[in-house]
Amino acid sequence: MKEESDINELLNSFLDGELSERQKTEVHRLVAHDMEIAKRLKKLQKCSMLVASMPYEQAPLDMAEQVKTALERKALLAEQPFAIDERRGARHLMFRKVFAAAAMFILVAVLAAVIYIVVTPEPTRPAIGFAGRLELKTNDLLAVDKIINNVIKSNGLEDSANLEHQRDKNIYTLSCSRENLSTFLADLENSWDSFNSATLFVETHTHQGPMLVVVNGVDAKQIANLITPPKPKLTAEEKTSIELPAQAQDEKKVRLTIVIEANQADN
Amino acid sequence: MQPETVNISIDDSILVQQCQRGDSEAMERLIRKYQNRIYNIILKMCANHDDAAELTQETFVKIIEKIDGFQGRSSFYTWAFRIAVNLTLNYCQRNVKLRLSSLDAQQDEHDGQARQQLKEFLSDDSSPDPATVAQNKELCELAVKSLMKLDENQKAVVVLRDIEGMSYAQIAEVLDIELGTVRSRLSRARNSLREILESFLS
Repeated sequence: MKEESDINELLNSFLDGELSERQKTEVHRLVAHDMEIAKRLKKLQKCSMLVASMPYEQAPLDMAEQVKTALERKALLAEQPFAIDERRGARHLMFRKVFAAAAMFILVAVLAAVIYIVVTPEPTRPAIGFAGRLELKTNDLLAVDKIINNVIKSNGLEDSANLEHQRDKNIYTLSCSRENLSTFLADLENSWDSFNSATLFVETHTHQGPMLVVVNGVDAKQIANLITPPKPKLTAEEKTSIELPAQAQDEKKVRLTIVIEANQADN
Repeated sequence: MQPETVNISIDDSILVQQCQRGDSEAMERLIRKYQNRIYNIILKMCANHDDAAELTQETFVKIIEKIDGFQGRSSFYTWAFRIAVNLTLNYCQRNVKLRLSSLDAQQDEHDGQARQQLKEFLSDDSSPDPATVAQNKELCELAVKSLMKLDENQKAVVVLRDIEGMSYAQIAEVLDIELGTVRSRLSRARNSLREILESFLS
């Protein structure tokens, strides 16, 4: 088999002019003495001739132009992805910038919210500046009632006062400005001895929740101080900057409920 | 044959140098010089005019793109043909199934006349005139079909040898194989070709 393929290779190389003179002589000798090899050589020659005789075709005449166009197109395509990539890159960069800015904004907002929660005090009732209940006990309910009435009238607080008569007690509710209430209390101070006892109940709000503060043996001046706490000393600049809130503070209404109750002995 | 190859090589080296300097006219001359030869070997390997034209164009595009890196270690001629053959072999491997089914469909179309002519051609003891064979359309069609039935690598050596007329050494350079491999592959290819042609007669 190996010999067969060797002879085939030798015959093909002979046909193609790829043999040395010695090998050519060898092939001539083989062909001359072996008819089978001679026939095989003939067939190989014909196969080769058949392939070689296939028509020689011309390439398209505009091949050079086509190549030129293809090169130009390729150059354009090579540039285009770069441009696309560049645009994509710019878009990506812009997205990252916007995303970073948004993230920063959210972070600042969250931090501000946290700081606000930590720093700001618990909210108090803003609707009214002060609300309290003053319970006065007296042996002479009528006399005390008259004193209260007079002070209300002398301060022109009739419209701000509401009177409720109950058994053994009269309840006055005063809703007015701090200034008016302070004046009212100052006028009442002179008659404070008429009361057997004076107790102030103030509802306030702390971090733990609402709390009732009870002040026994309170006097008019103390109540006035509670209603109008002393203002801190401010610089001129600070005064200007907080002027409006201060006015607003003064303009807030205060409410004092005065309960005048007759002592048990009086009954 | 040998002196012609040397002349081509000398001309090519000048044209290649001009191309490397960006001379578009030299590029065009190289294309015009080789376009028919490259087109022909591609056409014989893929048997489709449109594909052959496209592959030829692709070959020259690649040649021009790579010409700056061509250092002249091999001749431009074998370098260019290596590009062409590699592109065509890749193309053939991608389209092998389609091509084979197409050929099977055509097999039954061989009429009695073509078979008769082939029988006479193969059995004739005298040496036929190649020009007469070339004019025989039926025989040429059978040759194309036989060639297409060969294995791609066998087809490449047959085409480079019998169509392009390359020496074994040049074929070895183009296909990047040993000289002995060229010899044995060509021998097997022609043997297969003979068997295929004889199968048309049965």
